[in-house]
Amino acid sequence: MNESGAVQPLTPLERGLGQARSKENSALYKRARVGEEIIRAILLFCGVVSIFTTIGIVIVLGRESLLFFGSEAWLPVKQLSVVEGGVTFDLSAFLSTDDTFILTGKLENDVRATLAPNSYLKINDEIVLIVSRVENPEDPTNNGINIQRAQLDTVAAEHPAATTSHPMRERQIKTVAAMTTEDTTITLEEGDGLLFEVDERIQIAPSSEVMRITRVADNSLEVERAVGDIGAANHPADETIHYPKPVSWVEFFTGRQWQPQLGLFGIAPLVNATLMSSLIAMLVAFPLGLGAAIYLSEYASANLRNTLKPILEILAGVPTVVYGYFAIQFMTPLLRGLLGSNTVEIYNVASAGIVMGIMIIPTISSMSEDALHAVPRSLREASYGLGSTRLETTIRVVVPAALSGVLAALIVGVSRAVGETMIVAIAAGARPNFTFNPFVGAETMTGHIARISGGDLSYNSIDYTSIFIIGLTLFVITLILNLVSSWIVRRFREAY
Amino acid sequence: MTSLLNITQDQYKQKLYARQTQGVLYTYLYRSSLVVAVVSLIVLAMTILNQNFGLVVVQYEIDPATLTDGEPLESLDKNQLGEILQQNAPRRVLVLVRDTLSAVDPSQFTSLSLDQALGNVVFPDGIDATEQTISDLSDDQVLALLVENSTPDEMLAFVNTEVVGVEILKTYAFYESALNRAAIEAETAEKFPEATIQFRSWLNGRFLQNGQSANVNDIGIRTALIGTLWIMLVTILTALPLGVGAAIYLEEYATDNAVNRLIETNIRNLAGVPSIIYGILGLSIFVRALVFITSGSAFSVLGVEANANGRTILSAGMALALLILPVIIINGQEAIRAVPRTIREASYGLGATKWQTISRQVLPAAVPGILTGTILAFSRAIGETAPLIVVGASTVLTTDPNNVFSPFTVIPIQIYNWTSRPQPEYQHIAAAAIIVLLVLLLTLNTLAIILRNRYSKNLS
Repeated sequence: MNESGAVQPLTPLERGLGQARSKENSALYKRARVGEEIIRAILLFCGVVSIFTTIGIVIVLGRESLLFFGSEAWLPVKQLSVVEGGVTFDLSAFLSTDDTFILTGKLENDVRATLAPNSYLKINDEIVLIVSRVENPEDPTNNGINIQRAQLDTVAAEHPAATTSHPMRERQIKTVAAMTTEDTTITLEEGDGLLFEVDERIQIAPSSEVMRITRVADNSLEVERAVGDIGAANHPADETIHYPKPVSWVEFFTGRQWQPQLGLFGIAPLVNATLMSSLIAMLVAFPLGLGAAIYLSEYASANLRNTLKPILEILAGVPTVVYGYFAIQFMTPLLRGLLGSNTVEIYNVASAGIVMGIMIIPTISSMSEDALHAVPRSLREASYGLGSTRLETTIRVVVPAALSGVLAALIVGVSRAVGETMIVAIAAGARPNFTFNPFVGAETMTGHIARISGGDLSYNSIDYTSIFIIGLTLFVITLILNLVSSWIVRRFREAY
Repeated sequence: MTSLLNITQDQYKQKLYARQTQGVLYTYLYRSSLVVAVVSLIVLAMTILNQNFGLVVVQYEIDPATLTDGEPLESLDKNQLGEILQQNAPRRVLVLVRDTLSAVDPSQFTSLSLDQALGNVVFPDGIDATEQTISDLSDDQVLALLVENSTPDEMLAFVNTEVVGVEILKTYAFYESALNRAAIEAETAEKFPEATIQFRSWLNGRFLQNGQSANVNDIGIRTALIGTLWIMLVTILTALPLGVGAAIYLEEYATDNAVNRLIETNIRNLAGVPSIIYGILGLSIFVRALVFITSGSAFSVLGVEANANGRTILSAGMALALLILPVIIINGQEAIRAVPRTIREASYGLGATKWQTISRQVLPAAVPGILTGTILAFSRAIGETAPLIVVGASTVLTTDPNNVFSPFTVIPIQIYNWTSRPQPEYQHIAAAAIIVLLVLLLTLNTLAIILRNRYSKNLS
């Protein structure tokens, strides 16, 4: 429409046309507008999916972890009994009530087998626990065992020399007869019934129905069937009876053993192994990564940089399972060759940690190089102008100026090391072990999750819920590391 | 200043010399860190190649040369191979039919009629599949049934395991084979007088074509390779639209408000979450909570064969999609940001709407960047092992996956399984699988680099 010049009155025809046109336009405009809004909403949804992911992670990990602490580990009921016909040995000296060492002299192989640490020994009416064994092949006169006195409600007493001591063995309590869904009596061997108490809950075989004991007799138990969610079922004879052991917060944070089959859930050994392998990895990766970054940023010519950076990128792109293979096939034999196969076990934390360090070098070097590169030329030139050498400029001017980026790289490296799974799953061993020796096997948090979820995992088992609490611990650790890293970048960034 | 002036010239020179020496020393130190990285890469490659090639001591129960008058087995067609099977192991033919073709429980195999007992098979002429059971057939008909429904490679594998009876007695890595050949030969002659020594690459045509097998000699990667491709398909279809959509939203639409900042921070944090956590998420949500969908039972009305549980390609692919989503978003954002403002303004100036501008100007210009980032993210997903272990990869999988509701295994999972076995043969097999994986990744990365170089100039 002609807006310029003198305003001419519109003819009725023109007015009508104009209205029609603007109506058409506004409908078109509206359609376009609605279309735009729909597209905008779809795109917003795509953005919000990532928030759902985080919420999902938090809810899943949190909910199952709460279930973990409410749950019970069902352990087989065991009875200690003297090994009949087993190997016995006589005390070679008088044992007062305070003594914690028994002199054994030279140990024959069969006796040694029964005197293993963590097994029990019965001396007269007292039961003692063997803590450790002292053995010196050259001088057998001082050989012996360290013991803990008065175990399992027995009383410490004096024992004359030449008293025979009997090794004891744990025996699982099994049902004698089969049970149908109607039966309320569990038949046991003579005497086993007295191990139980009225109102205790038991399970015949793990993950089967829960029963409550109503009456205890010498060789049988009266029970109320199907107390929990699982219905009554038939049970064959010779099944082991299980009792519940609740999982506690206190034990989780303070316990030093993670052994689900014994109902022991202390996170310490897993966290310890994770931190140890991460520490070893960072001892390798940080100096090498930072050194490589300094060389690439401050020393290397453009040509050399263009050749070397892709090589580092290849190193970063190798899948972690391949690094795991590398650790077990190359690094472990190398360590065993250098330090002796007696010192270094086949599965060990050091080998996994070193290879993990090699894996992290590219992460650290590329992040640090970006930070070093961002330091303006003028700072370097000012430093050279004052007569500094290139090394002094690098160490006293460039690195401090890029410190926030370098620290962020360090933390991202730690976070990757903590979350790394395959290398430790392959090379660091499959046994939770609270140790500070890097040359023995110790399972990390990630390694443990990978191992137990690799088998057939029953959704009702405590193993299943335990991977969520370990996962939550891992998530919290890495989240804190990531937040600290972005905080450092914001807080300490030198803007030029 | 006074202290500076008090230094004699000799002292000054000494100090300068010390400083410069230190500088040179540190240069070597910095350079050596790069050398360590490069050497590690070389040693890594050599370790794998060392395990992939080497001598094997092989023993045959029957020498293949006596079966064919000296012709190699590989050159025979499948009918000839069938005859060898019939002559030398007549009783095994029926067992092979049962093990490879039967669709039902072994106990019902002989009592059901042929079309029920066997799955989708081609019946040779002269068999009435609805009336006859397997016991009614003559030996020749059973053999024809087997030959008709097997590929030549499968027939060759049957002959090798049933007749020739290949047994690998001992294996050697490459360096040992090359340096101690004489000693190895002497040892073999003494310990296994009937065995022969072969030099082999564990990565070979058979390894790529065969599926899983209990026999080390016949083991292959096909099932895992197909599984990897299927999972990548699911991952790409899920992650690419979501990731690019989110990147467009964050770059083109999002204003600087609390919600958008939250999304932005959240994506950065998700990129740092350990991959095994995504496995746990996948196990809990896709495998368990959405079992109805991921096992395929929701689609059974459409004739989909549902899996017994949610541990399927669909669950695994979606878990990996969540894992690489942040990477795709961050790369996509950078690619979109790199498109100059002028292009957008020119488009608006011509009267285009926002979406028209994005879909016809911004996205086409950003596609190379987005693709490069996506390919790099996918090469990460292909190498991931931990989340798939948790989601529940099958360790033993005899059939190839044929839809998204099939149980799965992938190459990295197989590498992990084989590496964890104590027998030395499996270490060689793992090395061969690693080469397959690395070649796959290298191809993808080369593609990404070509894309980047080809399209990087045309904007400015």
